[in-house]
Amino acid sequence: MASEQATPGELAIPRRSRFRFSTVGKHPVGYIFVVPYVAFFISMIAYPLGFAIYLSFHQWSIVQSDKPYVGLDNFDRLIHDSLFWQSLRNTLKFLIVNVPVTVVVALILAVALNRGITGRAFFRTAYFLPYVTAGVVIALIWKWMFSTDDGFINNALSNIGLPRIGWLTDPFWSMITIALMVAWKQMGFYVILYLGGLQGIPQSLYEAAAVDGANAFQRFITITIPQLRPITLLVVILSTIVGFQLFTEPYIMTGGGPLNSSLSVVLYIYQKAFQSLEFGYAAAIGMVLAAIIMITAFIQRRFLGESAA
Amino acid sequence: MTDHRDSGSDVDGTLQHLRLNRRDVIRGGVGLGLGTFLIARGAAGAADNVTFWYATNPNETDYAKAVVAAWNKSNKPQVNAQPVPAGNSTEEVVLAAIAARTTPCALANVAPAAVPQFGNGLVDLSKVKDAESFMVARSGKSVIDQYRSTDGDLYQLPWKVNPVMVFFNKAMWSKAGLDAEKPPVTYTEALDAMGKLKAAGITPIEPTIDQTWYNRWFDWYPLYLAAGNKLLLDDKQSKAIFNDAAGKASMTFWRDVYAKGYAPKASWQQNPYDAGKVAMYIAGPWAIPDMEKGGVLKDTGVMPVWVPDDSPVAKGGTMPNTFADTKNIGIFSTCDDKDGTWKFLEFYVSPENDKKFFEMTQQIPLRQGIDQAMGQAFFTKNPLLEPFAKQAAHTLDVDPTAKSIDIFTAISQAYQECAIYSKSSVDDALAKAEKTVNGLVGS
Amino acid sequence: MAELVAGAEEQKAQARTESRPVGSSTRLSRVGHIVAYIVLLLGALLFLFPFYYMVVGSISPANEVGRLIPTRIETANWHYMLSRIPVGRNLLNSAIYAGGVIVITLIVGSLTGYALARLTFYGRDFLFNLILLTLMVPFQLTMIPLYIMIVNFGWVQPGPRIFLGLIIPGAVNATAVIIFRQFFLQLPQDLFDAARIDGAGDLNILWQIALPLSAPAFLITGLLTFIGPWNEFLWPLLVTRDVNWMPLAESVALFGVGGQAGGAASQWGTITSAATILAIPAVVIFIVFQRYFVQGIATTGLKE
Repeated sequence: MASEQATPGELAIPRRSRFRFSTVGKHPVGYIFVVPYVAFFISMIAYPLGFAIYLSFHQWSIVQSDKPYVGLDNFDRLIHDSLFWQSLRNTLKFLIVNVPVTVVVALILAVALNRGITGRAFFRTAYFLPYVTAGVVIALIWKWMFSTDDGFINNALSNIGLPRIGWLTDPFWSMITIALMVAWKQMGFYVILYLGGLQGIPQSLYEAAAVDGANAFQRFITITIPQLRPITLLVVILSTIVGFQLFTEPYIMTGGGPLNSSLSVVLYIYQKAFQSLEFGYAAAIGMVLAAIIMITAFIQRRFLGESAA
Repeated sequence: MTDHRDSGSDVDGTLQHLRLNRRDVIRGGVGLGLGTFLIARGAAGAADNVTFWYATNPNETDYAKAVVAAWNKSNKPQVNAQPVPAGNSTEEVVLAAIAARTTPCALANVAPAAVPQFGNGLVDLSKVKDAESFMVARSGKSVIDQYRSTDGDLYQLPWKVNPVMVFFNKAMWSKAGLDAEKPPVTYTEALDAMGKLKAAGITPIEPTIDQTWYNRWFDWYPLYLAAGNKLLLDDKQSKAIFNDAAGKASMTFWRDVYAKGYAPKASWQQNPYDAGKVAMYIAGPWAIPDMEKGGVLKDTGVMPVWVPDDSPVAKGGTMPNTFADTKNIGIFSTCDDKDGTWKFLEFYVSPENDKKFFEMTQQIPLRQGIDQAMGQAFFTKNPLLEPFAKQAAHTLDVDPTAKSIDIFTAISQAYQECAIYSKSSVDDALAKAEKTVNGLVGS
Repeated sequence: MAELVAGAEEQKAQARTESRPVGSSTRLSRVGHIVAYIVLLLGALLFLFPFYYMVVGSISPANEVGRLIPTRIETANWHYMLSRIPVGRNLLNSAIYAGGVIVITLIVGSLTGYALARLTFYGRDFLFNLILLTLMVPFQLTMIPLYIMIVNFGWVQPGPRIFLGLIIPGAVNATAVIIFRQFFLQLPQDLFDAARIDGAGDLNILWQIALPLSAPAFLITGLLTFIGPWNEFLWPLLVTRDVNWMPLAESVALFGVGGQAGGAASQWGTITSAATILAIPAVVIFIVFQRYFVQGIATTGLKE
C-alpha cells in the first residue's frame, strides 16, 4: 500500500471508486457513517458561513433589537477604513518577514538534521517544543524578553555596546518582532515536514549527480530544492494562513500598537465585534479576509505548485 | 529504536504493539463521560449567588476579598466575587458580557465614561428603593448630581476618586541639584527640571506608551484639563473642542518631552518608578501602596500636574484642575437579585468599609467628611494623601457620551503620532483627531 | 511519506552517509558534519532558551528575576500566582474542554474517515473535497456567527453548559478525518475481503477489524487534536469570562495582561510561573509521545 501514497500531491485527489454500479454506490451504509460529520458540517460550518454573509449586509449589534439591512454599506465603509488597510499592510509586513525566514531556517535545520547525526531525537524535540506550547505562554515569555527597558535581549545588546531596540514599542519593529517570534513558534512543525520530504528524495538522484561531478552545494540546488517544492508550497501556504489569522500574539504583546503598527486583521475583527459591538461590520471584514486567504493560497499554488509539476 | 522500514506502512509498523481492546474503549468512554458529567454537576452548585466583579488592582483585590468575606459570614445573598476578567480593559469585557447577557450582578470598576455605552445593561438605581437617598446621604447632593444620566436618573453608585498628580523622587531630585520643596509648576519649569535630571544620568519620567485608549488619562488628558479647564466636547456632546490653545499646548509639551529624550519610548509591566529607576510618575493615590512595597515611598513627594507658562495657576495661589479618574459601582440588569445586590453594595460602601477602603487602597471614597472621619493621625501617617485630598476638589472627569472609548482612541492615535513618534505636527494630529471625533459624535 | 519512520530515520540516514558515493570526499563530509552540528546546537539553544528563562524567572527571588542563574531558589512567585488564579479548577476545565474535543473528534473522525477510505457510495468524493475545502475556511469568519449562536443557545452562561459552548464549535476538524482516511486506506484489502466472505456486515468490519488495528491512528489524532483546545485562547475568551469556568490558557493570559500580577513582588516572576504551569502538561505529553506527534505531522503533510 505504501508505495501508492508516494507523493504528497497525488493524495489531494480522492481516488475514484472502483466499484460504482448503482446510484447510491456499493455501501449505502456509508451515509450513516458520515451523518455525524455532515451534521457538524451543516451546523458549525455551513450555517455559520451563511450567517456571516447575512450579517455582513446588516447593521447588526447583539444588544440592539433593530438590525437593519444596509446593503453593501459595510463593504463600502471597509474600503474607506484606513485602519482596515493598515491591518492588511501590517499582515503583509508580517508575511514578508515570516514566510522567508520560516522556509529558509526550517530547510537548513531539516537538512542538518537529515545528516544522520547522533542526538537527533533531542534536536527534534527541542525544535518542536514551541509548537506544542500555548501561544499565550510564548507571547508572554517573548514579551518579557523583548521588553525595551529591562528585557533580556536589550540588556544583552547594551552589554555588548549596541543600542537598545524598541522591539515592541517602535512602530517599525513591532510587527517584525512578532513575525520572527511566530516563525520561531511554528518552526518545529515545518522542520518535520521538510525532514519527511528530504527522506522521500531518491538517493539515486544524488548518486547520479555526484558521478557527473556536482559538488554538495550544486546537488542541493539542483536536486534537493526542486524535489522539496511540494513541501515548500505547503510550508508557504500554511505559514501564510497562520499570518492571516494572527491574533494572540499582538493581543497579548502590544494590543495592536504602537500606532496600530501591529494591528492584525483578526485583532481588528475582534475589536470591532467585541469592543464596538459592530457584528455586521466585523463579519464583513471576516468575509474579505477569507476571500484574501483563499485567493492568496490559490496564487501561491499556481506560482509554486504548477512549475513543480 | 528499531527499524521498521520493511513493515510496509510505517504507521501500523511502529505502533503494531498497540492494540485497542474494545472493552477498554467502552469502559474508558463511559468513564470519561460519567466523570465529565459528575464534575460538571458538582461544579454547578452556585446558582443563586450574586456575582460581583472588582478591579484587578491588588490592593483593591485584598479589600474586596476581606469585605465580601465579612458580608458572606452573616448575610444573604451570598456574594461570589472575582476580579474583572479583563484583558486590555474592563470596558471590553463588560461590553462582551452585556452582549452575551453574562454580566455579573455588580461591577465595582465602572468609569463614568463607560456608563452611556453600557446603556440599558445597567440598572436604574434611582428606581431601587431608597438607593438615591442613600447615595445623597453618603456623598452629598452636588457630587451625586454630577453622575446623573441624561434622563436625570442614576445608573451608577458614585464610589471613589483618584485625582491624578505627579509623584517625584526627592532623592533623585536633590541628586540633580533641584529643590525638592519647590517642584515645577509650568511646562518650562518642568522641562527644565527634566533636563537637569537627565544631565544627572536619571531618567526623568516614563509614561507607558501603550496605545490602549485609557493610557492617555495618565499623560496628556490631565495636562489638557489643567490647561483648558474643560472637557473634550461641548456641553451638548455634539462637537470636539480640544483642538485649541489648551490642546496644542499640552500636546506640544509631551512632544518636547519625547523629542528631548526625557522619556524613553517604552511600555512596561513593572512600574519603573516603584523600582527607583525613574524620577517621576503620573498617577492617582492608588499607586502609593506599591511605592511602599518598592521602597521608594520614603523619598516620594507629590505635585500637581503642570500648566502652560501663561496659565493663571502659574502665578500661584490656586491648584490646577486634573483628571478625577472616578470609579463607580453599577448593578447590571441581568441580575436576578437586584435588591439583595443593593443591600450588599450599601455594606460595601458603609462608613466603616469606606474608612477601611481608604486605608487599604489609599483611594479616596466619595463620602462627605471622610477626611475628618479618618482623623489627623491617618494623614500624618500618610502625608502624601493630604495633597490628593486637596486636589480632589479640583477635578474633572470625562464627557458622558457613549463614544468615550472611541474618542480616547482617536486622542491616543494623535498623541502617538505627534507626541511620541513625531510622525506629524501637533496641529495636523489634533485636527485629524478633531475630525474623527466630530464624525463620531455626529456633527 | 511512507519513508518517514520515526525510529528508523537514524539508521537510514546513517546508512546513507556511509554509502556516500566515491565522488564526495570524507573530509568534506566531516566538515559538513561539524557545520551541521553547530547549526543544530545553535538552533537548539535558540529554541530551548526561552523555556529555560521562563522557568528560572519563575523560581528566582524577586530582585533577581531576569538573571540567568539566580543565587537561590524561591517559590514566592508561585505562591502569589496560586493565590490569584484557581489553577486546579482551570486545569480541570482545560482537561474537560480538550477531552471533549478529542473524544468527539475521534468518534466522528474515525467514522467519516473509514467511510471515505473503505466504503463506496455516491457523493463520497464530493464529501471528501468538501472536507478539504473546510481547511480553507478561516475560523475568524465563522467565529462571529458561532458566537451569536451559542449566546442564543445559552451556552455562555456560567455553568457546565459553558463546555458545550467551548467544545461543540471546535469539536470536529478536517485534519482528523484526513488522518483517519489515510490510515484506513493503508490497511490491507485482504483483511476486509476475508471478513466479507465470512459474511461480516459493515459495522462489524469496522468494529472487529478496522478499530482494533487503528490504535495508532487514534493516538496520533488524539495527540494532534489535544494541542488545539489546550492552547486555544481566542474562543474561550469569547465564550466565558467567569474565572471558575475558564480553561487555563485563558486565565493565564488574563493574569498576564489584565494587571492581576500587579501586587506581586516581581510581576514577571509571577507571570512566568503562570506561563510555566500552562506549558508543563503539553510539554510533558509531547515529550512522552513525541514520535507519534512527528508521525501525525508527516501524515497531515500529505493532505495537500
